[in-house]
Amino acid sequence: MFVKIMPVIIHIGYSKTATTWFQEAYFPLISNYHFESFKEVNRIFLNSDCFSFNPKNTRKELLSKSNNGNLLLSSEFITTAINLGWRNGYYSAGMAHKIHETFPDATIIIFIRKQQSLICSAYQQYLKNGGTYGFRRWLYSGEVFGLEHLNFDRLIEYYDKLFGVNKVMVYLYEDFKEDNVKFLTQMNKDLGFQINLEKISTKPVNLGLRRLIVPIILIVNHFFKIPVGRKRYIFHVPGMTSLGRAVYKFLNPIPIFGNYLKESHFLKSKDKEKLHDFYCESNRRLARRVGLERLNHHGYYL
Amino acid sequence: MEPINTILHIGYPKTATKWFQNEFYPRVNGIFFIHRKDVFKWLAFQNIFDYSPVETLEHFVSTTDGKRLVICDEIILGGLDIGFGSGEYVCMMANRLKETFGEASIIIFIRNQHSALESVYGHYIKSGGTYSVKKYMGIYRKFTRPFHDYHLFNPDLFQYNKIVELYARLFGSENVHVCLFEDFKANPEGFIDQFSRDFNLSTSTHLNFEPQNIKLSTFSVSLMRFSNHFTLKNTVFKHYFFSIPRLYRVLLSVTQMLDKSFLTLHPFTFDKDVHSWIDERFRMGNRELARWVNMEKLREYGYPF
Repeated sequence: MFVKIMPVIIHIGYSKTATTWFQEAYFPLISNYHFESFKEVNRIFLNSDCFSFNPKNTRKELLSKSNNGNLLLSSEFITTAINLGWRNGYYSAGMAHKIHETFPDATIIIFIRKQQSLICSAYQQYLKNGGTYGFRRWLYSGEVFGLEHLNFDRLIEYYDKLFGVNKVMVYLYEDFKEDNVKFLTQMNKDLGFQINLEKISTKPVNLGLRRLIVPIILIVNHFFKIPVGRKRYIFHVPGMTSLGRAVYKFLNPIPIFGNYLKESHFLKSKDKEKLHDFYCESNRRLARRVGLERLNHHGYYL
Repeated sequence: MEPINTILHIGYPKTATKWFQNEFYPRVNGIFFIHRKDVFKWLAFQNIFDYSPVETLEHFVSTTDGKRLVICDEIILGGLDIGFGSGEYVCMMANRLKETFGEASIIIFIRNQHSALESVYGHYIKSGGTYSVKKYMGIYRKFTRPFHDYHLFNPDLFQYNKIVELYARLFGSENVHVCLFEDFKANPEGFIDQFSRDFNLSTSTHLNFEPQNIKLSTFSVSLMRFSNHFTLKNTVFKHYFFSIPRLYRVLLSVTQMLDKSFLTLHPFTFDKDVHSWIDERFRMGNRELARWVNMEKLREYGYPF
């Protein structure tokens, strides 16, 4: 029996575009691909010394894990962790080069999400990870998050140049949210994934925060030091990290803590204006790549 | 038009780069010394996806008036405040310089890692840091998740052999020149005479060889480290309770005054176990430097072997 050799596929993020769901509930169930999730991908591409990185050995090591040579890798850290600074793109570009040297023929998957929505989700992630800064300080100070991080067109163009336009697949998170079955069917067709969609649970893995949970989490976060870029803590109380996680896990699902936070809770009209001004040009360039109508339909700033 | 025989003096941090920037290169005849703010603006803090080597070179060439272009900035190696990560910044910057300048003479000053890292830690405390030596240096790392320690200082920057080899690969071995900070310190006048001849640089005015940075004393390090818990400043990895306005400036002035006035104050040094760790960490890499520097000199100056 012949096994059709598929290209190596690498899913690079962005963060907050259902990456955890894909890594936990979807990619592992694809029958014709060997899947390696973020821990292994980070070990190999992120935490490896740039000076002694050996693409040939890395390729060999990864391909040896797959029975049929089909390999699917996923880590949103490849586009740089969203709450740990943008740093002029050096990390993103450094990783893109490592990947390209290892698998020059790979297909790259990039998920994007309209910035105003991704930003609100990323801030909630910051709180879940131990952050203590208020939303505006987080957003504008540049101490934790960098607005440039979400200039999608620049990163996509960089990957286009390295791998070729037809090897870089750009998907919209909003398309996935709107009709996940249709979206996944199309994606499976595009990438040659074999998977039984009936077995898939589309239940979200990461939920946002409820309104009254935020002050509780903020208080707890002031008493442990796990860093998320920049934060301020009063002193470290052992066990508070677990307490913070418990608040999210056990209290957050309870409806008495209010509704889940929405964009409108974070973004005032001035913020929207600023974000619009910052991203519209980048999104217009992006429209040439993914289609103006699609971006318009989902409310991207144009 | 490409500049002829461009000099890129890339560091290291803590090897008298400030003296070269302020005292030496501005007084050299017939060169165009690029100001720090232009190095920051045009080279270091340019978004990698927007960077254009052609535009940058054109800009520099248009300002040099046909003179030989010289850049001296440790920011090219990331300084001490740009996260080292896994070496992404350093590698991408080296490639950026190659794309931009093509041919150039690369000057790299190195310094015995024992004293270099003591000085680095002093710099961190001066920048508002609060971590202990072991935590700052990563002798014990608390963070295992990706990116958590990316912005923290990484002593691997001082694996000189890696950086020298990277530049030699890009610019050619014959164009990479490794100088010892200790040679400069031992005899600044003699060193600069030779250095000027080697790189065809001449100065017409008298040079002031006074050191520009005063080493912190143990007392000042302790005082600043404690007080930095009440300042924000610009280092990401620190623990502060709240920020008292202007405290940082006052502290800096007080410690500088103390260190200048009381020469008997003991200069800050690492403990023995930290020095043992440095020996262990860097001895293999330093052995690889044989191609570039006189190994006897490295031994003489106490480099880890």
